[in-house]
Order: sequence, then structure tokens, then C-alpha cells
Amino acid sequence: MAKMPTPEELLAATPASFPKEGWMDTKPDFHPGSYCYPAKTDALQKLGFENAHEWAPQEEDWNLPENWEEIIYNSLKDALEKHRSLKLFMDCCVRCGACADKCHFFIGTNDPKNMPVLRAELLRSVYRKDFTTAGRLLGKYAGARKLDPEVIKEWFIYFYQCTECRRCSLFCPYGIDTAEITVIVRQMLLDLGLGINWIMNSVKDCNETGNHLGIKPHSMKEIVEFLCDDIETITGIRIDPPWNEKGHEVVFITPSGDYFADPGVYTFMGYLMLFHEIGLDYTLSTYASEGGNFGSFVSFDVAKRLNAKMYAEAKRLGAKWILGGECGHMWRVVNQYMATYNGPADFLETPVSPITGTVFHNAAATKMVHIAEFTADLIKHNKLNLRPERNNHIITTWHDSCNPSRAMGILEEPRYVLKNVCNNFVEMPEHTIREETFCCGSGSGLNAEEIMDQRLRGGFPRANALRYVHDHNDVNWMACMCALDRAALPPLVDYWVPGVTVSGLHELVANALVMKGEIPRTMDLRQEDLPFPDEDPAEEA
Amino acid sequence: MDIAKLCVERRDELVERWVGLFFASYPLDSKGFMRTNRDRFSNPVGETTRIAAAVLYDAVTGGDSDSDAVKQALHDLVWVRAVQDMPPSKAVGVLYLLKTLLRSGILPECMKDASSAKAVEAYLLMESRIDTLAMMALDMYSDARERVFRVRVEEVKRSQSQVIRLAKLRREQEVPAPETDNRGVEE
Amino acid sequence: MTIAFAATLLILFVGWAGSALGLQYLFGVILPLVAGAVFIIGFVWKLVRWAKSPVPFAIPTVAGQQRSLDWIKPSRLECPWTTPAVLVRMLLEVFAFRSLFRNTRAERTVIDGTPRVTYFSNKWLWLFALLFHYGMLVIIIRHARFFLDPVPACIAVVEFVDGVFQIGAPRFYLTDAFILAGLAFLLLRRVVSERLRYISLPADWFALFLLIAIAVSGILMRYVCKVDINQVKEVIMGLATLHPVSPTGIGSIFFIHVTFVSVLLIYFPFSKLMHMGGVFMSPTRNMKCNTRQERHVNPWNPWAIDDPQANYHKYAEYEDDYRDAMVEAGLPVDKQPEA
Repeated sequence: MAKMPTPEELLAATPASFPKEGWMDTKPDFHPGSYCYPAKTDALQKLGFENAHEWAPQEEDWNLPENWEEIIYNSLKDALEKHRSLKLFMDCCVRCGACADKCHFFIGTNDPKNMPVLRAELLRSVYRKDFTTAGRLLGKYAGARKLDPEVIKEWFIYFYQCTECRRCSLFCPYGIDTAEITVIVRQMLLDLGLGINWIMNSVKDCNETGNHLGIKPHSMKEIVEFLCDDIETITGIRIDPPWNEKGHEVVFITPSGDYFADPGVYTFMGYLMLFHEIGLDYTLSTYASEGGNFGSFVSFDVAKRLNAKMYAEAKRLGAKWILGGECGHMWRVVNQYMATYNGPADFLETPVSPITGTVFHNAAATKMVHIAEFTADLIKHNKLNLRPERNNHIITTWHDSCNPSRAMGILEEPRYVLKNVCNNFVEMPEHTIREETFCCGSGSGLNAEEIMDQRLRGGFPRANALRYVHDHNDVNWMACMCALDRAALPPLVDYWVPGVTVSGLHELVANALVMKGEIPRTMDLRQEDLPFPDEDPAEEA
Repeated sequence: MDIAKLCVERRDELVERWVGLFFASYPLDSKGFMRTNRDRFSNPVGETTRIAAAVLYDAVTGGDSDSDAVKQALHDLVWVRAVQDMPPSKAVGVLYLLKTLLRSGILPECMKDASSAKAVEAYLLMESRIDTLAMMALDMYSDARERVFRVRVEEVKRSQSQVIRLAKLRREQEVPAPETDNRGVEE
Repeated sequence: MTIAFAATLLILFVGWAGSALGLQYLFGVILPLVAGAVFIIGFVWKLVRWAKSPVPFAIPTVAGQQRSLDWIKPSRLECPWTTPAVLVRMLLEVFAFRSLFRNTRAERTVIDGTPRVTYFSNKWLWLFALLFHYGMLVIIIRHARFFLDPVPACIAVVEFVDGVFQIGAPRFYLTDAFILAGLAFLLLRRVVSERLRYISLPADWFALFLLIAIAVSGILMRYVCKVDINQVKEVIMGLATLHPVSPTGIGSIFFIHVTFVSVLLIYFPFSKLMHMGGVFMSPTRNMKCNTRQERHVNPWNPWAIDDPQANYHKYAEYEDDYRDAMVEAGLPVDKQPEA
């Protein structure tokens, strides 16, 4: 009989440590689940990427264009000339390691190349070879390495395992921002025709139809009518939101996940109910219906193109300012890039809340207000009739999404709103919230279902902190204001912390909102029975 | 030889070695990190493993343990490992490595004197408990994987819930479905 | 690591051989002059090289509450929206290593039988990095006594404070201990932590070895193999005023020290040590977090929304694609479909 392997042999459980060979010599492993599906050639061609071609990640040969080395060289050179940040981040790192255990992907996977420092070294090593004297002369001894197809593959794996959450940049003594490096490397990969379907297909659809799912305007209107039907069922009030109409004060733009996807639609219903109740003079737009910007994950140029529609539409419709829905990366773009990309927006006015008269000086250049700021202001001025008791069965915590916290600093406004519409609020442990919040593990366009295992690993630090308050404080709800979170947290929570519901902020607002002329509420926005329904005045009498 | 006492005496050492074997089975083990960082929030994988290993050791060696606590510990351990990019044998089989540890750490003491039949019997019982745990772990592993695929399917459904609703309505009205790319359901 | 160590030994040997072979003029005069020149030119060149690339986008890392509504208290330092606040943030970053200070970690402890999470800041790196950098700064200031005649009073004050314990003769300077402790920690950390060893490049080891060699040779020169300080000062004054004095007759430890320092100066502008300059230019730290209030201008911005060359999908094109369906669904259009 052949010798059976012992369990130790089967598990290869030799007390190993980091791979013996250095990181430059370990190669990435491609197997289903370790990579995202590649972008389709025609999607890339439509967006103007010249080197779009057929390829498959698991194949040995990626059919790179013949002069691919030259393309990468020029692409990197161009990026260095355009971005001081990149030059600095390439030169300044001292490899102190402070960033290493700050990355949720490293924490969740323990793969050393997920340490932000090594992720950046993947590019730095090539930079040193081509752009520094020491690297050219000393090669490996100066931390430089030659660009070969394996390096490209490594980039593809690891720069699509960064969610651009910027947590590492908070702890870096030089503020090295891995998100910046990741976007630039993804841009270089796109120059070779390498992208992922989940992102590039959304970009293509968003460019053509105005939303990520490629829904055409008439269908879009019809879908929103469904949601209005649901609102009528719940409240007895019929809302008919204006579309593409000129002459309204405000254009409202939110990520398309809120129109089409659960549980985002409940948040969307919440917006409509709020606007109806306060009598806001607004319009929706089918052309600029996408607040999200998947282009911002991969290319500054594409991001600008998608973002341009917001101003163009506000201008065409003659609005005074723009109100933005709950979204994470949309607000990174709006807060830090929009005015630069497509401003100055001098055809708009500094936003003023028509209900309270509050002037949003902080949005004086961009002319775009975050709905959490807007609603917090309404509540502070007592303009809403709220009955938080309707949410009494909910013990909620608040998930700060990466971009609103680390690229914007909108921390107190949503908490203020949440505490006013929900009587039971519990914070997750310190160092896992606010500016130190953990990512959902699926940001920056990595919420593709084919890498679910990877997302579950990457989101484990977030889920773990949630589980702590679930176990200790009976938390059964996690509110957040990011469309990607609303898409990506439900599977994460379902796996790690079953029994917790994920929702947007305005779903809870609308649950608590007492509307003029509504019927007594017996169900929440999800049409589930309220444990604490409104008393029926007829019965009371 | 009092085997129960011996197991208690050697507990810390054996659990530590077992945890080491758990960490070593990771495809890219970051020993320096997983082993040294004792923060349950910044090293959740490591801490979950540590906590679970101690509970399971007690369960195997017959120390007082609450069966719900054992199930919970095993569940935490298996569900972490089920999404770590390793084959089932590796995810679950690491439990068997405790046998090796016990055979080197406890068994020789049991065999020391001739009249130790009882001790050997007690020892075999411990090994059987490991088998039981492994079978429970197998169930949990398959639950975990089923959950992964379920959340994948549900995510796709959720991501287009309203589009599906529209499509259904159109089908009822016999109008062609809306134009979507049906993303996420390819392959 | 071995390569970096070998390189450091080689420099030691060269420095020693230089003095032994009677090349004192080369090693005591020409090399430091060249090194000084390379350092200054290299440093400026590097800064200019960085500055040549524009800052297209405002990407500050926000680490606290933004300024929005009047009644919400904004975090002036973590989300600075004025130039003075940004300056304070920068200064704290540069002088107090604030981001490293943030490095915290939680630990579980059992208090009264219930597990609690307590937070310890993981501040060893911060502390020793600070010790090293401040030690280095004071030592450089102290060295100014060799370059200036008469020695300014402020340097004497620094020396007095530094040697305040008045141990030994010549008086033992605190900073000598600080810099060695700092360097030893940074080195040990790299050796002991597997994670750091994995990410370390030869350059990381080399910088540490070089700095340790400089500190040790300097300390040896002061306390053990004493050299004629007056003569050293004459030589250095000669270098500083570009009227070199022949450095013969000084102990070889001096030449070793000078060789190490020269290598450091030459190496500096081309290495990660340039973080000294870079930290001031990092756009995630030196920009205001008022990006919605003031527009940041990108010098290479390719087009504005109204430009004819703007290549986004314009509304008119969109309407052309869907006009009939839009009209049918009751959506307003700019151009009515042809009948």
C-alpha cells in the first residue's frame, strides 16, 4: 500500500513564516475567486482606450500590445510629470511599517503584499529602475527591478485589492496616500487595455445612459413610479417627482444604486418623502442620474468626463444648486475633485436651504450640499415632525464610510440625524469608527460578486467590530451613507454577523417622519410590520 | 498518572503550539503579525483563532466546557477559515493536528507504567472527541460555503431588484424586458 | 542587510586607509568639500524636481469633523480650513510626528472578571523616532561650533543643556545617548520584526548603518580616541571659509568620521532620507480641507464643460439617443421629435 500522507504533510503545516524568497520573487496566484473578470473589449473601446483587447487573467499570455513596455514607461512618466503627489510618494517612503497593519485587506488576508508599503513598492521598484540613477546602476540592491509581464500581473492582482479607503494615509508620517497610487497604476493598466468588467462596464453604461445599470430614461421613470406606489401603500400619500424639468431650484443627484437596488431603494423613498414633506422645489434628472463615479477608481480623465454631466445638467436645467444623496466615493469626487475638474460653477449660486434659510458657505465653490448636512439643518431648526418611537425596535450603530470620513469629514451630521430618528444608538469600538473607520472591503469598484471570498476577508475587520456591539449591546441595525456599502455590507453582515440589517440614513428618517395627511403607519419602508405602529385615531375615538 | 491534571498543566504550552500550527497553515502566513498582535480589532483572525483554540482544547481534554461555547468557538474558527482561500481539508483538517500534539505531549506519560490501561482509555477518548469536533467542523464548513454562495446570489438579486420588478411587469404586459446587461450573472 | 553592512565597512576601511596612506588632504579637505556641494546641489535639485510637477488636485487627508453647519464643532486641526491651521498641522507633523503618534492598538484585558477592551497607544516607534531625530538635530547644532568663530551664545546654551548632568570629562552629552538609543531601536525593530525585515530594502539597512557609524565614530572621537579639537576646528573653519588648511597630524578616527559624514551627505539627496524635504510638500498634509468652498485649479485641466473639445457624453447626444422613448414616457425634451 502506498504511503498515506500524514495530516501535517497534507496541511504543509511546517511552522513557516514569511515566504523565504523576497517579495520580488513571489508570484501572484491566479485562480477563480482571486481576480475580477476582465473588462470587455467593446466597453473599453467605446471609452477610447486604444489598447483594448481580448485577454483572460488565468491565461499565461495576456496578449499585451507589442510595445507594452514603452506604453507603461510613457504612462508612468506622464503621471510623474502631472502629479507631484506621485513623485513624492515614490521618493519619500522610509518603510517604517506604520501603515502595515492598518489595511483591512492585510488584516483580513495576512498577505504581505497587502501591506500598503509593499503595495506601493510594487510600483516603486519599477519607478526606481526607470527613473532613478541609483536604480539604473545598482538594480536590485537599490530596490529596483525590471518590468516584466509578471509585474503587470502582480499589479493587476494587488491594485485591485486596494479599496482606496485611505486609512493607511492617516497613519503615514508623510501622508503617503495609497489611493492615489492605486488610481494611477489602474490607469496605467488601462493604457495596456487591462481593466475589470465590474468597473468598466459601469463606466460605459454611466457614460451612455447616465446610470450604472444601463437603464434607459423611460424605464428609469417607470421604476421610480414603482417606488412611489410603495410610498402610497405605506403612507397613503402619492408623490410624483419631477424629471428633467427646467426652472426648479435644486437638482437632486444620488447614486443609481438608490433607484434600482435593495436596500438603497428604501433610502431613495426616504428622500422623496422628505422632499415632499418640506415642499422642496427640485427635479430629478435621467441624464445626470448617477451620483456615483466608477471612473474615479481608475482614471482621473474618465472621472472628469462622468462628473461633467452634473454641472452640465444643472446648467441646462437652470437650477440654483445641487443636492447630493448618500454616497461615499461620489462625495470624495464632489468634495475634493468636482470644482477642480469641471468648475468654476459660476452659473450656480451658493446653496441656501429654502426651508431654514441656512447658507451653506462650506459649499460656496462646488455649490453642492450633502443631504445629511441638509437634513441635520432641518432637524436643528425643528422643521420636521419626527416620531422616533417608530424605530424603537431598532438598536442601530453607525458605519462611517471611508470617503465621507477621510476625504470629507462628515461625521457629526449623520450622527445627529440618526440620534433624532432613532432612540437606540450605539457606537462601535473606538479606532474602528470616524476617521479610523474600517472599509466594507468592497470599495473602489471591488464589489464584484466573483471575488466574494476576498471581499469577506477584506471586510472582516469591519464585521468583527460590528459583531462586538451585536454581542454586547444587541445591535441589530447598521446605518450608513454610501451606496456601495448598502450593496456590499448586506452579504458581509449576512456571513459574519447574521441578524443585523443594513440601511441608509434616510430610510430611518422617513420611517420616523410624520407627514401631513398620511395614514397611521403600520409598516416600515420595507413594508414589514412595525412592532410599535401608530395608533389609529379612529380606534382611539 | 492523572491524565486530566497533566492536560491542565500542559494546557498553555499545547494550545500555544496548536495555534502556531493554525497560523502556519495559512497560505501566506504572516507570523510576525498574526502571532504578535493581540488586538481583537486590528488582528481579528489571529485573536479569533487564539480564543477558539483554548476553548476547543478544554473540550477535547474533558475540562469543564459549555457545549454552546464550544460550538460557538468552532463556528468562529471554521467560518474564518472557510473564506481564507484554502481547500476544505486544510480549513478543517487543522483540528487533527492536535492529535499529533497530544501524542507527543500527553500519550507518553499515559504509557509510562504498565497499569495505565485506564489512562490510555482516557487518552483515546480525547482523540475521539477530536474526531467529533472535526465532523462538526465539516458541517459548519459546508454551511459557510453555502452561505457564501447564497450571499452571492442574493447580492445579484438585490442589486437589480427594481429592474427585475420592472421586467416582471413588462412580461405581464408582454412588452420586451428593459435593456440591461444582466451584470454579475455571467459565467 | 549583509550588503549594506559590507558597504559600511568598506567606507570605514577607505576612511582609515586614507589617513594611513597620508591622503589626509584628499579625505579631510577635498572629500568634505565635494560632499557638501553634492548635498546642497542635490537637495535643491530634488526639491526643484518635485516642485516641477504640479499639484493637480486637492487631496488632503481629512481626519476629523469638517466645517459645515454653525452649530457643529469642526475639528480645526484634523480638518484644517485656514492656512494658519494647515501650518499648525504641518508643524505638529514635522516637529511632533503626529501621524505616527496616532498609531494605537487595542488590547483585551479582564477587569473584574469581564473582558474589556483597553487602548494602548503603540508609541514606541514614535518615541524612538523622535529621540533619534531630535538627538540628530541638537548634535548638528552643537557641531556648528566648529564652523563659527566666535561660537554664538545660543550654541553654548544648547551644549550646556545637553551636558546638564555633568558626567565625565569631557562632559557627556545626552543627545549622544539619545541618538544611539533611537538608532538602536530602529535597527532592532527591523531585525526583530519579521514583517519589517520582509519589507526592508538594502537602502533601509544602509541608512541605519551609516548613521550608526557616524554616531559611534563621533562618540569615540570625543570620549575615547581623543583628537586635537583646536586643530580640527582650524581645518573645518578652513573648509567653511573655503581656505583649506592642511589636516595632517589629526588622528585617523577623525578621517573616518569625516568620510562617513561625507558619504552621508552625498547619499542623502538620492535616497529616502529626502523625506526630510518631502514631508513639507506632501499634498495630503499641506493642503486646506476647504475644497468645496474654494476651487483648486489644475494647471493641466484638459477642458471646461462648455469647450467644444470636451469629450464627455453631452445632453444633446443623450437626447438624440432616446428622444422618442423619452417623449413617449412623458419626459420633457429640448428638441421635439420630427413628426
